[in-house]
Amino acid sequence: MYAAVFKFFCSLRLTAAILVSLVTASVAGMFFDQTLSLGEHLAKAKSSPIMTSALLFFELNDVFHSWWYSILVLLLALNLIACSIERLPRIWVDIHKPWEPLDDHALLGFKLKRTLTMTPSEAEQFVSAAVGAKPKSKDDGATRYYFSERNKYGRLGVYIIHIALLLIMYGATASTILSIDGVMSIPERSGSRFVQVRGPGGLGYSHDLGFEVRCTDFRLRTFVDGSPLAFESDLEVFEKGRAQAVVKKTIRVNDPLEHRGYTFYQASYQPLSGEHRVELRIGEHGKEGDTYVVPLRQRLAVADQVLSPEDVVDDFGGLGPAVKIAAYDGDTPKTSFYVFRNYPNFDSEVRRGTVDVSFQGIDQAFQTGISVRKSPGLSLVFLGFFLFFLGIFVAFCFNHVRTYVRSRPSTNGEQEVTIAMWSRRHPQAVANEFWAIVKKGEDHGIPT
Amino acid sequence: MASLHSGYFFNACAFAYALALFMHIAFLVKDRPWLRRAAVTTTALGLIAQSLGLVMRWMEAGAVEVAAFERATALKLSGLNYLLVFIQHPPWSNLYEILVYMAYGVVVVSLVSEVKWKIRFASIMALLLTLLIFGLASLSDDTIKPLVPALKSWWIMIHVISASIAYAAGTVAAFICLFYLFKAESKVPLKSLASGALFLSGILYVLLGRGTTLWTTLEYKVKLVRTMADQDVVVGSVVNEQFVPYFVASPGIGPLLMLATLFCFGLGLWFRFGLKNEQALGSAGLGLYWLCVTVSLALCALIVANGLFTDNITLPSELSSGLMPPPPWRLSLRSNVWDLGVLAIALCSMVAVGLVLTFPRSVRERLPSLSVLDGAAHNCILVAFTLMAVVLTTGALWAHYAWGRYWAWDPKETGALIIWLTYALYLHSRMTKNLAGVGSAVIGVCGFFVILAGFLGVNLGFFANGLHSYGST
Repeated sequence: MYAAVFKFFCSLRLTAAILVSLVTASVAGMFFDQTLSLGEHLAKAKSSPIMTSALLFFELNDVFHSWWYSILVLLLALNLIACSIERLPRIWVDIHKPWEPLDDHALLGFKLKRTLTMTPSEAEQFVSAAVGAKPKSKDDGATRYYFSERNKYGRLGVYIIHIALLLIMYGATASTILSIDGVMSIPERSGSRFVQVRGPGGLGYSHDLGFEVRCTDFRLRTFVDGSPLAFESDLEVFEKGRAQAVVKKTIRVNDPLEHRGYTFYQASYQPLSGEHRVELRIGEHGKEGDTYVVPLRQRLAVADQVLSPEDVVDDFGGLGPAVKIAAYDGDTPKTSFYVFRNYPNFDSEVRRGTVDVSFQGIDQAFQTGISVRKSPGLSLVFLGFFLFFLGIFVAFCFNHVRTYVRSRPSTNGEQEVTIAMWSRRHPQAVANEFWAIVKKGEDHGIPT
Repeated sequence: MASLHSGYFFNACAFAYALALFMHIAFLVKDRPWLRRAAVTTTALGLIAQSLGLVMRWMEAGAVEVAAFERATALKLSGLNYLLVFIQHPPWSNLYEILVYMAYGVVVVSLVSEVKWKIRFASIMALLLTLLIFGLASLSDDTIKPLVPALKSWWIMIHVISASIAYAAGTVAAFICLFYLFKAESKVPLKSLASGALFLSGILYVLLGRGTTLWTTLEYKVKLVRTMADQDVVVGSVVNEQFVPYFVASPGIGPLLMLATLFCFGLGLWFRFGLKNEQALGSAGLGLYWLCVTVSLALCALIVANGLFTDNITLPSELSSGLMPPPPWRLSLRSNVWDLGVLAIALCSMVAVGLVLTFPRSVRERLPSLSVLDGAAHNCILVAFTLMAVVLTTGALWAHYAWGRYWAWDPKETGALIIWLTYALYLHSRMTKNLAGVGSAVIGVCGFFVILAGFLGVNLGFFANGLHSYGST
């Protein structure tokens, strides 16, 4: 009974069947939109009762975490483990078994074989060309057998690949079950220690990180049309009972902060209604000025002028963002003019006052959106990736090749040399190598 | 609009590939070794032209990227910073560029296989496919837009390079597996080849008919188009904040498509179950097969003619009021580019199999031995399998750093996984008793369609989200 079950899980046919089912199941997963919730799918399938029950039974809204997909993955894992248990010892024995001399019976099993006749000195040269300087050898009367092999551990590459796949499957399952996946919204210059997590069934809850994350600054740069070019947040992490930040880092879209197993990704941002801060460059006419960052309606004394940014216009008649600047005489506004974000030289070229003002940008207060993740199995998955490529490298680049030679006296004092070769993979390349060696022998001796 | 310089290079290399294709065909007919050498040289020259074109395109995109950055930040870039911004937009970031780049991969792999294994028909198929891809690319939008932040990652380079070589190696492997089936005369009877090609075309025609749409309405639907400032703009309406293109019946095609589909399936069934002769179809079978090919050709010609010449399309006012660019509306080749691609693939496979059916002996004696074909396909698939693993892992790492999840089962990721699983299946089938040989060759051929579905099908929204918008007209 156990033997039958074990044999079932060992078969390559089962592997083929599982792979075909996985491909089919994944195609099904591609046809059903996995981003919609069960409710949305049910609303779509309202008119068809068969579809509704299929949705509920096969969990088509979440194919890749459904019970039957999980069973397929589990079967694949069992198949992999059983195959390894069955085959690994056999291959281990095959790698380490003592070599057998190339007698007439053994010769039947080779595809690459050739017998040549040559003088004894040529035979000696030929043998060393075929099996290298230090072959294993055996004597049987006047007949001498040689053997050499290379890359025998290349046979284990496939097992490294399979172990890597098991690691990836295990790590991915663990991270799916145990992971935390939520969002934090932190206004600039404040902090939080709670993550909003979407739990099972779409129910939200707050997860306590156990430490506080503060956002000290958020910066957004936009293209001229207002679409975001890049955005980043300066984050600081405060542990309980410590006044100093333990970690400080600026996070960007492709550059997260990691702390205590949690990873904080820059995901989004939202402007906070309230204060604008305007960045202006002001200097005497024709000279390079200094940069000032001031809130709206705060006065600035530059040279002999008193200026203040009064108002921000998102789009001034199609010319893009602009700031209205008022020039003061004592306490009363004297004149006002506009400077444009997209035309930095506008003021110096058009208005030609005693000072040049250019509008560099707006620093608005933002609330940074951070997505927080903790996936415990992630390092296993990445280790699996690494092992996978290691296995591929070992399996493809270290081809197990065995070379057998028999040399025995023939008539007329000549030697009859028989060579045979076996390889695990790349038959064509090894065949080329074999015929090249044979050619060397033929050049010296007389082929039979 | 058209970026002049890289465009010139791409035209030149398409011309070179067409020339090389003719030389390969000439070599097939007249056995002169210099023809093959000339064909390989011409392909290599075309490849150089395409490489230059890609570099040029990269520089054009770099200029766009630098300009956008400088305007956005009002900074002047220089030195290393300039270089970093300049090269961050590689020439494979929209559909047009991806297509041109995929064609590049196919040519590279086919050139390597031509030099290594000298399988005569492989280069012909690969160059045909390349020209088809160029044709589709020429009908796609080729403007350069600045990259969105998530695409600015160094992973994209290795990710996309691996993907293009993997897809190309898989495609070439599929061709070689097909030749294996042609050559394996004792295991694959001609009638199975014929019925296989016919069923395949039938399935592709069902896809063209949008599944049940054709069968319920007898209509073949394509996107409505309006020409504005020399560009074809797709007509449609906005539903739930998403643009949904409007589909209109292409005149006269529906019944013909239905006829072709029925013809393919009917003839395929007859070959499979009705025909008793194992080795030859007989003149009646052969005649019917070519008649079926002719019907498909007529279908293709009619679709192209409709795209070129159907100008004034009017709709009842209750339908037309919600549609976005107002009339005059027309059909164009752009309204069903991908359908033309699918149709071309169906036609090419039918013609290729047809040639084998008609001249079985001369095709077979021009093919290398089964073991060479099997070894070549195996090597190509090993490359494809390994590189698909690179694609999956770099994709996972990139997603991990960009979005904080390494795997989310979205259609694109699932598509790549399916391609990889298919090749895992191929590698294991070669070691399974009843599947080694013909079975694994069939899996290898299927690999091409899996790549098509996983790469283009997902990009074009045949699955999940896009699926609804395709059928809801």
